Amino acid sequence: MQYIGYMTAAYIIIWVAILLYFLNLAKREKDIWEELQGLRATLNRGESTPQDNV
Amino acid sequence: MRRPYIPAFVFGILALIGLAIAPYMALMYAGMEKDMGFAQKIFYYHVPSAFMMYIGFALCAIFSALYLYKKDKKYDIWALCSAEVGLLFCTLVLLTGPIWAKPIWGTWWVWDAQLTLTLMLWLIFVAYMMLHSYSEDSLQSAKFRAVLGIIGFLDMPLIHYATKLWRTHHPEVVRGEEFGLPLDMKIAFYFCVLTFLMLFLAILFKRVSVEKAHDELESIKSEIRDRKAILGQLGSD
Repeated sequence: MQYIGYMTAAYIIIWVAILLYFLNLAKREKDIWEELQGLRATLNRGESTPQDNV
Repeated sequence: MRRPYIPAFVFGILALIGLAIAPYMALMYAGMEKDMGFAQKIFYYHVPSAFMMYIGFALCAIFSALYLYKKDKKYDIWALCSAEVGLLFCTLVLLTGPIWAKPIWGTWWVWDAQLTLTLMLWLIFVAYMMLHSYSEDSLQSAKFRAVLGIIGFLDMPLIHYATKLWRTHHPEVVRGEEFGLPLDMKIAFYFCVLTFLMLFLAILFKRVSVEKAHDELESIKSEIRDRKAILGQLGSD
């Protein structure tokens, strides 16, 4: 069991870092898609009624 | 509607399977090194992370050169995403290395050539990401980043051959014929490298899909601004 604490710490750091990066990436993607859908809808409304303020 | 991104999904599934088996390969299948004990097991994740760092930064340099040559935005997107994923693995290398060094060398860090050059590489790509985040002129930022990505790449051969060029503390782990690990350790090591490669590709393709969506968002915003300007002009006429 020599140095098992160091190994555990290294493995935890790797998994936590990768998990946090993935969660951050998923959040960025979700925000972008929400904004994109909103803007697309705005743009489509603008095309159907040109007088509308876009 | 959200586009399914098949490469990220396929590599993600393969990475998950690999990640489920990798701890068994590293902890149970591979034998225990008698002097370093469990600290040696860090090697199975630390070295593959270093390989993925090399691949990420090498891809960044290749796409940067292509961007400078062809001026096509898609190469800038790939270079940016490769740099970000490379930086993630470089950070893992710099975090796990000292955890191995503390019990083996008795210190967390030494300023030897290989470690210092890796830290320099990390700083170069942190600067690269900051240039992307804080620059207002995206075209000029892309050019500067492309040059920085190529400069960063030049640091990598120095890191890889540092143990040959200078006297360093860092062990020569994988160097062609000198790769003298027992077979069980070799198999576990190559398995972890393959798993990390799947993980790297899954993250890279996912990151590229996010960046493409971001690019699309920016172009729609720009289109809306143009329409507003035209409507404003019509209104004033």
